[in-house]
Amino acid sequence: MPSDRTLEFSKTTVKSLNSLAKRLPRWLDSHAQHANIVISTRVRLARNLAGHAFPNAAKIEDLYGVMREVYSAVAPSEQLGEAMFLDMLRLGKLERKFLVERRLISPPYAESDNPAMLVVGAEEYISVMVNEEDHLRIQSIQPGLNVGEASRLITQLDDELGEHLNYAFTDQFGYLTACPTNTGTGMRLSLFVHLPALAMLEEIEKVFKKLAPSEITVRGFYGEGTEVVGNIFQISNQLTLGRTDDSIVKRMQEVGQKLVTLEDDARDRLLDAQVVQIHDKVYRAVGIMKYARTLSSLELLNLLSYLRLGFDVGIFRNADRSFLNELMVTLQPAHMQKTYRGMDDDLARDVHRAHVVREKISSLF
Amino acid sequence: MLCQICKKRPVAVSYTQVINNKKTQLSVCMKCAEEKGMTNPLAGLPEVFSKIVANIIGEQLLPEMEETKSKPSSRRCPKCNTSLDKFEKTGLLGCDECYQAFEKELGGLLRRIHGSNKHIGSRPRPRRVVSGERDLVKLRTELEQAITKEKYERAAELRDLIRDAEREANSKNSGRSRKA
Repeated sequence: MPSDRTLEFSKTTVKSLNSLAKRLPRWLDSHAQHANIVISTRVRLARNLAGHAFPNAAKIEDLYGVMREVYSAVAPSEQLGEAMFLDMLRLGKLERKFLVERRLISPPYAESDNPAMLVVGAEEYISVMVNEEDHLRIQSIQPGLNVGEASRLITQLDDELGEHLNYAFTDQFGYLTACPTNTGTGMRLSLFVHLPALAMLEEIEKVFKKLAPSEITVRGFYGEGTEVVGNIFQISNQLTLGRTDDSIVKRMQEVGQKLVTLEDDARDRLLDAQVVQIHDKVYRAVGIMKYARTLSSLELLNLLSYLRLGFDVGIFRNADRSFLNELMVTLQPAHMQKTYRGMDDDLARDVHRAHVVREKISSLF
Repeated sequence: MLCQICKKRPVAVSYTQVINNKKTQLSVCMKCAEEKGMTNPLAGLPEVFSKIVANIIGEQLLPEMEETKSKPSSRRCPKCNTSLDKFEKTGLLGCDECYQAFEKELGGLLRRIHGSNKHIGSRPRPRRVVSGERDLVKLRTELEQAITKEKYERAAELRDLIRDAEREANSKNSGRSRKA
């Protein structure tokens, strides 16, 4: 292996990853503002280095060159002082899956064979994927609805890196990205929202139609039938060019506030009109969690959604609800494989997942 | 219905995306969902959709591309050798110079995607034009003129520059002067 491919950071990789598995990311704090409805806020910036081919057209040596440049810009960064640097090529399939579940990398990044480097800031509020679709994908996550803080932190880091890196930028098109859907600000802001009442009242489509002029994209998972898995939707700004960063930030904060108001209102109406049905759904979820012998990760998400609603509308009181986020993260497949032995098999995981959930729920209800 | 990824097992979950009331869907089995990290909606999966997004762009690209494509050789970027043909298929440009090589096509395409093809957002720090109080006064005057003339895009750009300049002026830890 040529010496210029050897990067200083490559020794720490697997050990660092194991330390992540032992704790929860800070963006799961369930006490943040509006965290009962907006689970988290994420901002992502796409940046490229001038004079280097984008990763899809780059030669291996180019990609190493980009990594070295980024490493020397990031290493002295104050904001990323305690960051860990992960050499992606040293990570196996399981470790990569774990990072996807952790929201630190994207699924295509996990599958790529390209030389790549992941930088994870302290507490996982900030991270940087190097050599994803663009040279840099900088990400900032905050718990609850907190567009301001998420964008403040990311702008600060972007400014800092922009001092050392020569970003591909023109006055006409702004930041130049591999895909023209990101050109301009390169900024994608996403809210992860839990909307069970709007979903139960079948008003989701109506709400999203009403929000369409806000230039947003909505994503969700549908399980069998029409239910969205976990009643969780991802709402993002759709456009990045011809908009100022501030106007995107402001608009997404407004969209978040609007969704909080609409979901709160839907919960009130739901409780007025269908109080028995709601209690029934919530307690059935408790029942399944208390007694099930197997639970898939998707089923668990749906059950947790009802429990979350139960806490939010006051069916359960005086209990710490942080366990909801904890179960949601720690019982994902790769997290279980990293934490427990003998979890390579689907059935073994489903059995153990049910066991962990049973113990937790039985201690609370 | 069979999984769209492995094309073997039955569908367990569908990933749905709505843009401008246009819905696209990717339906997969439980095994592929778990393998692709698609079991947690919090993971955020826009990138799983990149190929499908490229298809959407592909359709939009056609009018601009017709003219070029009918020529015997599809145009290429002189630096990275990416061709317009390839871009149309993947939705990805190969380097920063592609933006210059395909400026005409991209100008139209970007306008269609974003409703604009002029950047008015933030700039890399070293490329912010302002260095001192005098520039700030000049910018404020220009902003007033832009508003009077109803040139709102320029006004927004100027407002950002002024904000950055003020922030710069206030930050004590930054001692370096910026180039004009």
